Parts: sequence; C-alpha cells; structure tokens
Amino acid sequence: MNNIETFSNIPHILANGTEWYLGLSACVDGGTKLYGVSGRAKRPGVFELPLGTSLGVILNECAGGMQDGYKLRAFLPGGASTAFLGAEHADIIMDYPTPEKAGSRLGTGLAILLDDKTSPIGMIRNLEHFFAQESCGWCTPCRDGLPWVERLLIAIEEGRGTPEDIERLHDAARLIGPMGRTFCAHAPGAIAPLASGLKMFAEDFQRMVSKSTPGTVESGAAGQAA
Amino acid sequence: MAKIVIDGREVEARTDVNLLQACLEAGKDLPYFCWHPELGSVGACRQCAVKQYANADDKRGRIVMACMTPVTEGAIFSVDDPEAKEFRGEVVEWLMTNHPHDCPVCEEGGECHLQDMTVMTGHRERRYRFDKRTHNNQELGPFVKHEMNRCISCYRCVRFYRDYAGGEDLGVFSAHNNVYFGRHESGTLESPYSGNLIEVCPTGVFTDKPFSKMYSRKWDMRGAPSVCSNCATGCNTIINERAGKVRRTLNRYNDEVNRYFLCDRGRFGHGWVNAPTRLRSAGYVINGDMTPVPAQAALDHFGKIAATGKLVGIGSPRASLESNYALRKLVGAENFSTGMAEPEHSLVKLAVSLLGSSPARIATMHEMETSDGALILGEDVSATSPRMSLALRQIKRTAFNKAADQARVPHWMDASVRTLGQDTVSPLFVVSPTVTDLDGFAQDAIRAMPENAARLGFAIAHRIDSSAPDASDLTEAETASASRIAEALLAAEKPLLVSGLQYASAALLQATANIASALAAKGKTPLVSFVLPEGNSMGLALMGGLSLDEIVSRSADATLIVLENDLSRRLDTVRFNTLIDNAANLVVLDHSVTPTAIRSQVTFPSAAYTETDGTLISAEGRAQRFFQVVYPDAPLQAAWRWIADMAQAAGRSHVKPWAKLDDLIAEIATIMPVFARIPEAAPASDYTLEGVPLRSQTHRVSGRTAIRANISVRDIPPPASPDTPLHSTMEGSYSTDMPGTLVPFYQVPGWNSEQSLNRFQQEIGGKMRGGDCGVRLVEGVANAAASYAMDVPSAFVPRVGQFMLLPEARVFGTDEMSMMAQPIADRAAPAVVRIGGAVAKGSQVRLSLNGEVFTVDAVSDPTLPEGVATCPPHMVSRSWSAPGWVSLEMTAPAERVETESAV
Repeated sequence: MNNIETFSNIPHILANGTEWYLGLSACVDGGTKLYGVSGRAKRPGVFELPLGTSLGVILNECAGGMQDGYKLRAFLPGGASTAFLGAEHADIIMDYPTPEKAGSRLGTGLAILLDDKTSPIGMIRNLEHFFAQESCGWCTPCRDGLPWVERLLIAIEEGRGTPEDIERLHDAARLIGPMGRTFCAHAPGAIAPLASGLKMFAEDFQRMVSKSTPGTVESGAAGQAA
Repeated sequence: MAKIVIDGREVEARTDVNLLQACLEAGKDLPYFCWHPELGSVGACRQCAVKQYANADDKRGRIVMACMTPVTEGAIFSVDDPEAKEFRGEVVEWLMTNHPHDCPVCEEGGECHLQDMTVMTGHRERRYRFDKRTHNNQELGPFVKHEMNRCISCYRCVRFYRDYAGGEDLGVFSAHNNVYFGRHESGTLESPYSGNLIEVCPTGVFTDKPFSKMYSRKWDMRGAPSVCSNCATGCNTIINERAGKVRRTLNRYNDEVNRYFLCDRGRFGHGWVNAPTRLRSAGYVINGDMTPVPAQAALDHFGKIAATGKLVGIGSPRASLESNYALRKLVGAENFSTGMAEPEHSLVKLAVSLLGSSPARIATMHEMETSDGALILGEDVSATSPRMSLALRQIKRTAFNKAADQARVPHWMDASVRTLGQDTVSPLFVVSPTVTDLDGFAQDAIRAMPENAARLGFAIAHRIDSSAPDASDLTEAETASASRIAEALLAAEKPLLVSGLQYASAALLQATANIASALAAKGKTPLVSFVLPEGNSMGLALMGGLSLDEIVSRSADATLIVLENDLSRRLDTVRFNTLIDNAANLVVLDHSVTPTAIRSQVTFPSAAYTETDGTLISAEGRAQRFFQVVYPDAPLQAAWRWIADMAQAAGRSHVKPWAKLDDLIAEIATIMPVFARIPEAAPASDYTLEGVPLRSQTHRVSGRTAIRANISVRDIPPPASPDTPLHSTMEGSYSTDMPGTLVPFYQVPGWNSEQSLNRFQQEIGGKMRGGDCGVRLVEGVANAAASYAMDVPSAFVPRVGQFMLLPEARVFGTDEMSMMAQPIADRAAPAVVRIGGAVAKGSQVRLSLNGEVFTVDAVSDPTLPEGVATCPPHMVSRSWSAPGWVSLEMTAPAERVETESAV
C-alpha cells in the first residue's frame, strides 16, 4: 500500500470501527473520498466528501460552479488518465461503477474541466506532453509512441496538421490503448483522454486540419519531451 | 514438452522456455530486440507481440508479448494474426522515429538485427515527419565505438554489462525518449568483456573500433572458424579476413565452452597477425638485424649446419599440437622440450596428472555457470582466464534461480528472477592473496597467501573426509572458514573447484585435488578446473618432453631448433644467453620477430593461427581445431611444413613430408595414444556437405576479380589449401546443419546478424545442429580410490627486510601475443609494484628480478599484508613470473627516474 489517501484512513478505521467507516459513505463502497476540481471553476480545490457524491455537488457546491462566462463542455472525471465525459454527465455519481458505465473511470476522483472557450486539442496536447515526458523510457510504445502523439497534436494545434495526422492519432489510440501492449499502465492512461477526445471533439480536429498548411519535416518547438 | 498451436500448426515446445523461443525453435520468423538467449526476457521492446487465444472457440484473442509468456500445454497462439503483425510493424516504426537511418555509413549495416527485424515486420515507409532527438557520443577507449543516435533503447547493453558481466561503469541515464546508454562521462570501458556489447547491441550503437580502421562489410569478408589462443580457455571464434588482412574476431558459439561471449583480450588480441613484427620471409640475423633471404637458401643453409650433429628441439605451448609433434619427431623425444621452464613445466605436468587421475570431471565453462557450491582456491581467474571468470560470475545466479523456483517464476523471466535473488547468498567462495574481480560475486572472499590458501584447501578436504590430511596450527578464522566451505561443498549438487598456476604452487593444485577426492569419497560428483598458462599448455603436457632447464644442460654444441617460442620470456638473461651461446646453432621458426628470433642464425617464417590449420588442447582437455582464413604469400607456411622441409634439407629422412594436415593428425593419433581421438576434433579436409565442399565466403561477396585490379587485371585462380575443409571462395555448400566446428559465419535468409545463430542450434542455447565442437581428451577416473597428497605446506611467514613478490596477472599486459596487438597494448595499464603497507605517493622501487635490477612505480595496496608486494609478470622483467623473496629499495618521489619496462 503506497497511497497516502488510503493510508490516512487506517487510524480512523482502527479508532472508530468498520461500521462507522461504511456509514460515512453515500454508496456501497465505504468511507470518504478526496474529490477535486481543476479548470475554470470558481473555487478549484480538493474536498473530502462521502464516497458516491455527485459531480454536481462537488462542482457547484464545493468548487462554486463554473467561472462567469464559461460553460462546462466536457471533463475528465478522475484525472489525466481517464476518458472524457460530456457536459451531459455533469451530475454523475462519482462512485466506482457509474463513471465506468458512462465510458470513463473514477480514477483519482480529481476532475479536470474543459470549458467552452478552451481548445480541446490544446488540452489533450498538454496532457500528452505530460505523459510523454513522464514516460520512464522502458518500453517502446510509450517511450517513442507518446512523443509522436504529442508532436502530431502540436502540429494540428498550430495549424500544420493533415488528415493523415488524425489517422495517426487514431492508430496510436488503437495500438497503444489496450492493456498489455505496454509494460505498465502509464501509456494506456495516456491514451484514455486521447481516444475519447478524438471521438468527442472530431469536428474540432477536422476543422483544424482543413485550414492548415503542413510542412514536410518539422521541428516542433515544444516537440521533444524534455 | 508441451503441445501448443502456433498459427493452426501443432508444435512440440519446451515448457522451460518462453513463447518467443518456442516460436523461433518452431521455425517462425518472430522479431525481437530486448530478449537475448543468454540474458532472458524483460518485456521492454514489445516487438515480439503475438495473439493468444483462450481456447479453440476464442476468435478475438488478445495481444501478448511472446517473450513474457510461458509455454503451457494446449495454448493457442498466432504469429501471423493481422492485428499482431500490425502492432509489430508499428513497434519498428516507433523505434525508427529517432533512428538516423544511416545504414549506408553505419558499420552494423549488413549484419544489423534492427535492419533484419525492420524488413521482417514489413515497415518500409517513414510516416514520422518531425525532427529526431540527437545525443552526444562518448569516447569509450580502444575497443568500442559509440554512436548513441542509433540507439533503439532495447536495454540489452546494460543488462549484459551490468547484470550479466558485473560491470559498473556503463549505465542508462535520463528518461522517456531521451534515455542514454553510456558512461557518466567519456572514458575507457572498465569491463574486460566490453567487446561483447558489439554483438549484444542489435544495431550500430556499439561497434568494433579496431575493425573500423580496416572496415569491410560482413558479406565481403571470408570467415573461418578458429580457436582463441590468448589463454588456455579455448574459446571458439570466427576470424574475418579480406584482401589478406585479418579484420576482426567474433564469438563462435560452443554450447559447452564460451557460448555467446568472449573476453576483450580474445576479441581484440589478434592484431599481431597484421603487425610489422611479423616475419614474412626466411632470414639470417646479420649484425642484430633480420635480413631476408630466399627460403631455399635458408633451407640449404640449415641442411649444411644440421646434416650432422645433435638436434635439440624446443616446442611451445603457444604452437599447434601438429607443429610440436613434427619438431619432436625431427629431433627425437629424448631431445624435445615442452618449451616450458620450471616451475611451470612441472606444475602443468602435475595439473594434468592430477586431472587425469582425479575422480572429478574437468568442468566445462557451461557447467561452471550452474554450480551450486564453488571454491576458487588461490588463483585470480578474472585475470588468468577472463572468460572462465565470466562463467563463474553466473554462479551467483544459481541462488537466484533457486529463489525463483520457490516462487514458481521461470528462469528466463529475468527482472523477476533478479528481484527474487536480491537477498540470496552466492554459493561461490574465493580464496586469493589479492583482491579479485570475482570477490563481489562471492559469499566470502578470503585473503590468504598461496601457502595459506593451500593449507585452507587441505583443511577443507580433511573436514569433508577425515582420512585426508589436515593442516596443523590453523587460526580460528581459518578453521571456521574451512568448516563453512566444506559444508557448502558437501551440500552442493554440483560442487566445483577451481585453481591454477598463477602462484606456481604445487600445494594449491594438490589441495584442490584432495578436496575433489574427499567429495568423491562422500558420494559427490565434483567438477574441477585448473587454469593453465597458454593456449596449448595442456597439449604439451600430454605430449611430454624435457623442461627448458633440462635443455640448458643438454644443448651444448647441438643445433637448437626453437618452435614459436620466445625463450626470453621463460629464462632469465643469464640462462637465456648460456643456452644460446653454448648451442652450435640456433634456428628459430616463428611468425613474429622476438628477442629469441633475433639471436638466431637462421629463421623460418611460420604461418600464424589465421593462416594455417591446427589443433590446440584447452585447459578443459578439449582438442579443438582452428582453420585458416588468410592464404598468405610464400614462403609463409605452417611450422610443421617447414620442419618437413628442414628434415629434407638436412637429410634427416625419418621425417617424410606430410601431404596434408590430416595425414599428420592421423600419424599423431596413431603414434601417441593420448591423442588417439584428435581426428574427431573436427571433420577432415575432404569433408563435404551433401556432396559439396564448404565455402568460406558469402554468396554476395564483391570484388573477387576487381579487388586486385590495381595490381593486375588478370584473373588468378582462387587460393587453395589441402589442409582445410573450407574452400576459399563463395562456391560451396553452407547450411544450418554444417558442423559447429566449421561454421565460417552465421547467416540465414532474413537473419544477417549473429542472431541467426538461433537457426544453427538444435534448441536455442543448446547443442549445434551440426554436432559438438572439439573432443575432450582428459577425463578423470570416475571411481578412483581416494588417494590424498599428504604434503601440507607450512604457513606463510613474513621476512624482515624482504618482500614476498607475487605475480599480478592482468587481462591486458602480461600475455605475450595479445600485447603485440595495438588495441591491447593501448588498453594495458603501466606496470606498477603494489606494496602492502604505506608508500608515499609518487614513490618508486628498485628491485632485482631474475638477476636484473629495475626501477618501477610503486603504490600502496592496503589489501595486501605487510611484507607482501605484487608485480605484473613479464611487464617489468621479461622473464620473471613466479613468486619469490625480493628486496625492495624505495626511492622518494623527488628522485623519480624513467621507469623500465619489458614491453
């Protein structure tokens, strides 16, 4: 056990008993959860709430709702390695099974918001930069596949993308995503927002490449995970 | 064995290997990078992806990495599945995103595993359009070139260098697609096994630096199987040649001997065959200079001086059995010397007689790797037999594997096995007067002077079988060590004992033999090995002959014929001069100019091991044949041919010329029963495969006629030799079923790198399809009654005012021929005297060795006892090599003078 959140529960369970712990929860899984909201909320933060609290409560009551002038477009319910869910899921119950039924995961429980004025491509590029940089370098799909994904996203974001680039991104999602293709779960985690984002924001991607002027060999400024 | 289904075909597969091996053994072309047959699996490259199905009804399946998947009965897999193929193609495309595609200027090109695997996966169009990351390269010393941009991050280099060979100065740095494999800064790679990186690296990151200076593509070179003669271990090699020059030495797989790896002395120690020190014509020494003369004139001259009078022959442990035999025949057994001086001569004989009568078997290096209780007694094997030392390093792995067995983890699952092995105790014990590189692999490294090491050995034998003599007056620590080691050896299933001649101690050999006998008396089947000094020491001991010391007194007024032997390395200056001055004539046959050759009256140039064929007998007692790869210009020829010519010239008609090597081998086998089996060491020169002789060049070798066009445009017939079964050209047969002793290069369709070896083996890591390499001549006596040496030496006692000077063996520097190869000479550190006790920095010592005084740099070595010092043999005094008492006269740093060195 190396998770501080889990570890910090232990003294209280020992002190108060399991019944007490189970009773804290709003769902079948016991206890509380550290939920979080980042993005254009009024009061981004981390909140300890009964496990199974809805995102509506977390976002609107704890984080103060969206900032004025911004609307929720989509969100990653449980951190960078979970799939996008659309705004229609804004009130989703944040327990273990419900986000999975919706096509994502509870993950860390730290939701990342995408608003209507931020480029989803830029957001995904930022996420993939993180994953490419954090790859330990052990196995090929992660070490060499993710930097390529990042550079494709940069090219598309900067108006130098091609329709083939979108195909490459789909290839990467298909080939790296399933568990077992890589040594650990880092790369499949990286693919979760990419694969779901390619589907959810397909029009944004198409729009960017349709007006772009691609080069032949490129050195993206932020290209190399450094 | 288990039945598994691969692509609809049912195959029998071994259950102790992973699926990748099973697929390769089933003949499938499944690409891989990070797996290596000797290093196991770690699942890093993700290249060997296949589809696994849960059962016959499962049509979807899931992708698994074959190298990380065990073979289980009834398992169903597909290599050809489109999804798996697409994934494998994409893995290569990912690897290529930062690969520089510089194959035309890359020295790996044409024998590159990455090229082969790229073609195999079908990836051929680059879709990655962004720039590539670049690295700085490092200067890694005289052996290995570094070109990091080519790296595909398979991690094999560090897994070999660190995990397998125990090196510490090569590592992996940084992260993500910026991982860097190198040293913390430029500098010579410290491991004496660094050259294996060249073969372990699947692409051109680590390449052969000396080869680079005379580079040729693999397909343009002739190859011939050879045997390394740079120590007594007998590693199998392939020598590559082009246009008359030896280009490089590669590993040749022998499942029982060197398997996949060589030491750097073996890989880079061949350069002397191309060096200016080579003798290329017959010569007279006039005013101290070698003056070329026509061969016939030299023979005529020899005929005159040797027609009458006594002939005395001095053989050589670095010459072939055949040449030694020919000389012995010419001069008569009673006038033939092994070429070894005392104490080496008697010790080699003792070692061989102990091995021949011991109930223990001589261990192969492969057997050593899996010993579960081993003792190295009084020998720095890491310096005297580096490749054996690499095998002994693997003993630690025996404990790892036991832990893995308990956790039911297969042995090929390398990272898991290493993790499980972290807390295990190595079953290896080292007893040595000096620190050795094997200490770090041992449960216990005990410092003991040679006498005390021998006493400990006797004490161990006594504790195993009380009828063996004990050493008296042992210290408490010695008693405890003896008991612990005895217990460990008794508890082992494969106890192994290793000693050698480094410290010229008969007691060490006897103590080792006593332990072997004691173990056998207790129902054990011990393995034993004695490290011998030179490539054919064992052969000469079996052949027999006088010591050089005996020759000195017998050669007065005789014509002395010296075969490929530099006596100045064996006799001190006084005796060297006496021997030569007293002889009527000195005739030398050698391939290189030596201080002995330069004293001769007439010299005949003999072919080097790359230019002729012959048999060497390794310390394992294995007779192995080397084959010529260079067809030298006349008058170079095998020494035994010179000897036949000399006999003719001198009218010594009892020596008839041998038409071919096989005739000579047959004669030796008939005349000397101990060598009865040497014809089996390799097929004869009339060997054919499916009715066709073997070829030594690839089908696509280029420039066959054009390469001499600057000399003459006329076609000349290809060179030929009656001695070798390998024809010199591209015409002939070649197959994965060819005898392992005759493989001139490894290549099969689709596999151009040395990884094609997989196809030459019955099973990966097992026997060659074409049969064993070499034949063992010396076996112990399985049920020999325990007979113990009773002469236990007394303990070492320091002397006041004197130092016991021990020989410090070195991988690079103390060996004769390899030091004539420039890369080895560059790698060798200067000679120093290490002294137990305080020595001011920058000090020098004056010491007298074999009657001559030398001034040498001195350093303090706190691991040595007071009153003990070490000196590298042959590097200060040319002849000094055996331990002895010396007076050391220390000079202060301020009075430094140029140091004196024999090399």
